[in-house]
Amino acid sequence: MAEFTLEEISEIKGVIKFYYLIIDGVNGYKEFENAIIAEGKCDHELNSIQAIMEQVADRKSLTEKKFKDITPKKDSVKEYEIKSKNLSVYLFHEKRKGRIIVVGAKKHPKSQNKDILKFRRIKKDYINSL
Amino acid sequence: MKTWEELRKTKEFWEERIRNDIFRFLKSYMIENGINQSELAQDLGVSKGYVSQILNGNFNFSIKKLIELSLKLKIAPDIDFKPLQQFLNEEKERISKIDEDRQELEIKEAPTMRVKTS
Repeated sequence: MAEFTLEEISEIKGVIKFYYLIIDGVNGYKEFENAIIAEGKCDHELNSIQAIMEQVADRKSLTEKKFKDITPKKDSVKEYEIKSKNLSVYLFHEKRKGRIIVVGAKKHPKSQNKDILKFRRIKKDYINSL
Repeated sequence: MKTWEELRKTKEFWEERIRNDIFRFLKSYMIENGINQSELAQDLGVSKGYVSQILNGNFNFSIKKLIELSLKLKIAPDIDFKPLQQFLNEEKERISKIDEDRQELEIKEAPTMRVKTS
């Protein structure tokens, strides 16, 4: 069973707190960020993603094209996707905590379902670990 | 991630902020006037596709278009330019106020321990 910890993201300031989900000591979102920066093609979109996170933290309404509720029917834990032109970030809401960022991915029609399934598997494991 | 200060020095921060502000403004205009996207397009004298682009947060206005749209909505497009450092100082104040309010709320919401006394 993986070990989960939450790390508050001090860079996101707002009413709603944001956290990284650390799995076995690995920060998946930071790894994703580093990979995008190293690739150097859409690293500027990380700024857009962070700007959207700030607006979410400030409880501002956003278009579904940028911040989408992707919670499956009958699931009580809210799931969201933050989108830029080429990137997606998956997160969920934990009551009394805030938004938990799980993974980021490059948008691709062939791999999107796989990315969402991976995100949901991690979310489920995390919730079961509480 | 960038620090909040670094983020405010990127063009993506300002693009997101301005696009989303315009999106929210149009959305509240639609709600206040009880109109849908087609009716909004009619009100503004633009195509449905154009309105849809704005509501999807996917547009890059020319200054001319921004002024036209604002005036049609009876809004003065009064853009306020200020030194970046002044903006950052104001943001710092706003953020620390949010932090204070949040801490206050957390204290209020924290479960209280009841001690039974005989």
